[in-house]
Amino acid sequence: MFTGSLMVSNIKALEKPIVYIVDGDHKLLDSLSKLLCLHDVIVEEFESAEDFLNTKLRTRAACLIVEVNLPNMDGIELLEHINSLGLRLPTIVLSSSSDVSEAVRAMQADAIDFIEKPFLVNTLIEKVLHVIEQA
Amino acid sequence: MQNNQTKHVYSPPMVHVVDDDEAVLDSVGMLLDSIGLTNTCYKDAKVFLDAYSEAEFDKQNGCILLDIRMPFISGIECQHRLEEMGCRMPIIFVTGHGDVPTAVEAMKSGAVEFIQKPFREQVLIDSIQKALQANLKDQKQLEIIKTTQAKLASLTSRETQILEAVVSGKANKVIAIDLHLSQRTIEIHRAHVMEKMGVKSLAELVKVVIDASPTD
Repeated sequence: MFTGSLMVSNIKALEKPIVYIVDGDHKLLDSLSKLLCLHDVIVEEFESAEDFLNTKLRTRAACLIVEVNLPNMDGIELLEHINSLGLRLPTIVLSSSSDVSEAVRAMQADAIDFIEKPFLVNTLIEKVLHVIEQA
Repeated sequence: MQNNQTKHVYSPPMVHVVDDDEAVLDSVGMLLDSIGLTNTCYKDAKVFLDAYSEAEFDKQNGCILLDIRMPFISGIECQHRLEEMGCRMPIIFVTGHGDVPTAVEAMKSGAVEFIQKPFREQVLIDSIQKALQANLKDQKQLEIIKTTQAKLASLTSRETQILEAVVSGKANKVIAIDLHLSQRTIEIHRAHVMEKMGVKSLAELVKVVIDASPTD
């Protein structure tokens, strides 16, 4: 479940920001983590909201990218759950269905953005880097 | 100084409905009338913005229903102009031409809700009630900030200095040394600060000051 980059024992890796991605789409996970690696960002991948909730958030957590359509708990519910815990983690929501009410729900849950699939990976990368810069 | 709690009576909020479709204005107006919400209808954003800038109503009390696609000025553009003018009323978008990017943009700019036509009446009513509650809370908050700021402004510069030191957790003794004053003088100033701010304890003083400081 973890990418190789996480196991790098390089001390520098300890200072790199971490981006969490929760999405069942392996292809997307792969390409995103490869691209983000190039920008000195560590990616941790999860296939479900539950998997994500079972992990320990690190202080270097910079951003969460989450797909709406997940098994069991959906991406927006996950975001609402995170908010209810009092955590502030800038979150970008992805969705493969272009549903306006879904977008509104995500934004009401304080998502910083809602992106419809398919999207240009570079747009997402730029957004993520922007979030990291602002942190 | 004891009874300085503001006895502000809030006037009934106004729901502003902006839509270029007369049928919508009629039906929404009737719906709002039926549940006793005062409302005003505008046939486009320009008319509303003119009314707003001429202050034909209480500028902060109520909420705004905005259509997106309208002649001259779009709902989104109207939202931006209102923001520039310092409008704090919650905005609910009601549109028949909603797409995800527009909805996201509207929400990013601070809209509280984005409803697609056709909608169930109850959905609209619930959103309006929620928005009005948020607006009332916001107004109360503003009121508190204003009152406290007025109190803060009534302090002398020495008192302000001592207030800051006290709130940052310094003991009288330490403040006395820092300001080259006697401890007794600090105590007197401190008592004046408490009296002017209308508080009885240090904890209360800190709370009042924190509540009035701008939040993000």
